[in-house]
Amino acid sequence: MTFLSFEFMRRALIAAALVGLTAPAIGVYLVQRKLSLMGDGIGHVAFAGVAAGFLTHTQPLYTAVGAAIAGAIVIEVLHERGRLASDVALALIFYGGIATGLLLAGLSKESTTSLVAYLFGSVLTVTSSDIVVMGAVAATVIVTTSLLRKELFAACYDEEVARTMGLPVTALNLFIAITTAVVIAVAMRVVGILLVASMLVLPVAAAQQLARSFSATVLTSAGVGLAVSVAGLILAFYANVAPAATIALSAIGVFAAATLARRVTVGN
Amino acid sequence: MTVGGAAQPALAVTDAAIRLGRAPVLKGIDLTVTAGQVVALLGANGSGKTTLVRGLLGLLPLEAGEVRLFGQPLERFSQWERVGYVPQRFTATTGVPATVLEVVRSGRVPRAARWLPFARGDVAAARSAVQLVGLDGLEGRSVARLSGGQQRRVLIARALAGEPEALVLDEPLAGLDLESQSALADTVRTLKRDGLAVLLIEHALGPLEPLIDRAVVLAEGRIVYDGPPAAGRVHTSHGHHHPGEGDTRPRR
Repeated sequence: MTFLSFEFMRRALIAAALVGLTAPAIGVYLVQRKLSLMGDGIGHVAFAGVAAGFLTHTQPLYTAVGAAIAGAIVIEVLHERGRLASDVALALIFYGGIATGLLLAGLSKESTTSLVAYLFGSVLTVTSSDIVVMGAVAATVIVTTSLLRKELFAACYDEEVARTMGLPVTALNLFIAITTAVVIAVAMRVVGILLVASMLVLPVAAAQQLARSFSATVLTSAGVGLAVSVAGLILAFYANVAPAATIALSAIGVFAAATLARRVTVGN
Repeated sequence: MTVGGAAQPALAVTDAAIRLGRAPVLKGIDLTVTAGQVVALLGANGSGKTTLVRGLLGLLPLEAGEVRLFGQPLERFSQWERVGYVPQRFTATTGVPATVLEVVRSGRVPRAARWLPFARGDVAAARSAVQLVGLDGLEGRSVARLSGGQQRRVLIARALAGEPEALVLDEPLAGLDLESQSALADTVRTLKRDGLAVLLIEHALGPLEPLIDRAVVLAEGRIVYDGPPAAGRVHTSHGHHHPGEGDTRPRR
């Protein structure tokens, strides 16, 4: 347990654990709505937000949150109007976000190293105040998604019938989009913009191989998220590689193992 | 239960027109269903039955005319717990797994307290709805692992779980075996006696036939018949009536 003797490692573990626990709590609704790639779209826009922070000498987290929320709302509105069905719309958002980010970063004369930190994550440089922000976001996301569990389930499971139940489906979808944006902006410190959406989707994908029920999927995905974040970080520490890589690959490993286990036990 | 007064029809459409994209799909639609009435909406594929039902439920905007639910104009209607809807297709068998009880229980959302988990009464209502459609014992089963007919029954149970006063069913019998069809007919018969208003789209009425009070036949976006069911059946099977012809048919 030598890694625990390092202050930066203890902070990194807390940060990774918070993200691993929180991301699937909202990711489960993205998967249920078949919007797994929405997180990626938001991440790319958040990249532009980070660069805008460099340019304006603002804390990049704040500008990233703002850009991510704006991007999430645009994606959600496009989806509601049926325009996202053309994946060209999503492609425009992906490339538009990255290109704008590169442009703003170039104008800001910020060194590319700090940009790379956001692209690939820099969990080892997480500060105590970062942890406080992450903890607050994690608590808010877990509490609100728990309180709205039955409404979110109904709206994501069958949107039309949810409307005839009198549920504010558009508002609930926007809640999911905005919460996703905030989680992504916060989680990018841990796994980076390139892999941030994997934290929302991969634990859920693994959990749904094993679970029969929605509530079991929610719990299992939180467990998988937590486990792969912590295990991935420890692996990265000993292998001396980027934690984002080991975390995402661990999640894919769990998914593969879960799929295999399911085939063996259920037979399909 | 007649908050709006006994005289108010549960579902009422007046002179409605609906457009899908650029094409007008429905024109001059008048339709009412009162408490305790079972109305069958018939017509060939593409005649606009599902479109009408979706307009009635506020899922499609009206181009003209008015919809009233329990006497309230649709745009101001808020008592959605009084309405149950069984859509034609199952929308989510893939994706995140969910059990029969989880899906059926979601039908209680309009009656349950917001921000809180389901109360014991909601779960009990969901369980009895599962029982009503004959899926008891399968409450914990993943819906994706059920047969097509069983999945249809999950959707019916979800609508029944909300204890609606008006039930709109889009081809409820599709994929159901004969036994489940008569089970559904028995359920509808009991609920009809309690005052349930039912509007259902169906091609072959099967065991539901004796329960039908009125048949409404759509053809080319217009109502061409509204009257006793037997004559309506004849009307659809001919299937060559022109728009406008229905205006001379009996209406109630």
